[in-house]
Amino acid sequence: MSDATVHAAEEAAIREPWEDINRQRQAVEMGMWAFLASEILFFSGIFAGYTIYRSSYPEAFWVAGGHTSLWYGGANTTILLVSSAVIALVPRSARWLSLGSFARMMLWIGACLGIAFLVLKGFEYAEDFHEHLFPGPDFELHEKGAQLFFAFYWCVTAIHAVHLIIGIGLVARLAIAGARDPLWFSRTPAVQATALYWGLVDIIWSIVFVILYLPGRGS
Amino acid sequence: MSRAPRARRQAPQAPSIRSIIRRPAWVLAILLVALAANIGVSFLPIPHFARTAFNLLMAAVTVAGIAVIFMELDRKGVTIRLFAATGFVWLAILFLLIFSDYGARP
Repeated sequence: MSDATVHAAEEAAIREPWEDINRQRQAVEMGMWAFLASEILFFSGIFAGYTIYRSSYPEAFWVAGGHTSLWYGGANTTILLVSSAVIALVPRSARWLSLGSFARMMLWIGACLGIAFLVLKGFEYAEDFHEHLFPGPDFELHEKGAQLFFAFYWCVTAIHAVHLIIGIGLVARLAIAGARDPLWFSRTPAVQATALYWGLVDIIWSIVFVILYLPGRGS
Repeated sequence: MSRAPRARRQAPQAPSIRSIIRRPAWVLAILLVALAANIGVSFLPIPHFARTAFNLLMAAVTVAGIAVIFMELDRKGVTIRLFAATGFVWLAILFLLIFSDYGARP
């Protein structure tokens, strides 16, 4: 990329109130990590509640954990890990104009994997409803505290799904905007910010999978 | 004293796609092995506590792999790493307080 092209790309990517693209990039990245820290705190309240109730009803949580679908949970964890690796390639390649189309292809693959996750989640939810695993009068399990486990299950997975839907929207928006303006795409901090957000969605799921899908197996 | 002529700034060469993919691909392979180990251990006839501890350890490995390699914390400066650590530090304090309560109960 020539100096003139780099300058034009930086002009296209810079936004108010910044006057320098490097400062904008640093500020966006730090701001994004601060936002992700607040997101971790948001989920940590739910994880703390889970921990306290699991300590109060250890057997019920163990039995209830055995009723979640390990097949769907494992498949979705694999999908999200692969999607994270794919999205991780975007900031590594987007800054070169010659690799811009590769970076945008990775964005679309990541978005498709996110959609695949949601489709599997939909099938899993349908199966859970069919097996009466939604807290309420028809709830399948009779152990005291099992409804609490599934209250956490529905709450955490639904909130995570909302985050993933937002992530898919951000990724698709970046891919479309990047195709319209490849110069902007090669310098905008939105690439790094979007990749960081996607990473957080995967981090949260890695913990959710362990606490909701792995208890109660084997015995 | 005459100054040496400034060398013209060369735009860096774009890396090959293979070199971009290599590192995340290796980390992905490790994380998938960790996932398989986590699922496998969940079926072993060992005490619940040991199983849960192993599951959480593998979750920590996964989180570290995603944050450090996929989210490129290994290439960032101290300030960004501090920002990234804050969420996990508050989380650690929260769980320390929770377990100090349960640990202190008779």
